Amino acid sequence: MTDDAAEQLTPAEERVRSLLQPFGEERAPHGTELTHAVAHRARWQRSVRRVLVAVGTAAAALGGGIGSLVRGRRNR
Amino acid sequence: MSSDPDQPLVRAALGGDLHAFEQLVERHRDVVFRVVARLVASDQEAEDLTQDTFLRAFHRLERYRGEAPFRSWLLRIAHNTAVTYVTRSGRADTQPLDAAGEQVAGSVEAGSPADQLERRERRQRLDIKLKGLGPAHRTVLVLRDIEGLSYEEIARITDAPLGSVKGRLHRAREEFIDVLRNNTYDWELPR
Repeated sequence: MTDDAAEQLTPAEERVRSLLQPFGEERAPHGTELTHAVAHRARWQRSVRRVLVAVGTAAAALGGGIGSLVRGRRNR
Repeated sequence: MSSDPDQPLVRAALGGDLHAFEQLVERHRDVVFRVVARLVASDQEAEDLTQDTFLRAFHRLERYRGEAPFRSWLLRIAHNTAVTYVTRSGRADTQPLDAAGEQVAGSVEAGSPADQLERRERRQRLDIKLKGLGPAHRTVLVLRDIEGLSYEEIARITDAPLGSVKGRLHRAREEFIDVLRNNTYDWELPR
């Protein structure tokens, strides 16, 4: 806490802080599973995203190519 | 911010190292869970929102500029995710955690079983009272009096001016003191 020195707490506020402090000891239930689940979903979503980007890039290239062909024919 | 110990892991994660991101999750999952858990009704919702927070952070990591500590940036995502969820779902967020007992059992406790039980019950009562406050007051109390964050960090996380944070915290403490004083349970609050 960088600005603790500047904070003047009343005795009641000090008491509230001490009452609340045990909540800071709580841990996420199933913490290890949670970490693995996040990592698994992140890996999976990144793969899907890569496929979608690749498909999108290919579609854009195809669209661009077709557009060039159509324009070329019109200009002839 | 060069003194932020998370920066090497963030850089590695940005370079595609998923193991580095996993370490960031490991490092911050508890604080994210605690902040989110005080805003939503159930333990399960808090776990789901903790996962969502990290996944959002993962996909937005390129936008993180390193101007603020990674933890502040992450907690801002967590706070926004929880507030959006509560607003959209319309779920009452003023109820105690469904599994408060289980959750507390997950923390480090010392003393005889009777002492532990008493502390657990006390914490559950306090959780109910805390959840009776509005989300804005609850958030500043959690970030300051539970997590011990600086005013600047709280301002960044809640996207509020520094002066507003100080004022809100003062009002939140006043309200909470008032709630506890009007409770039949004796919280031993000095006058």
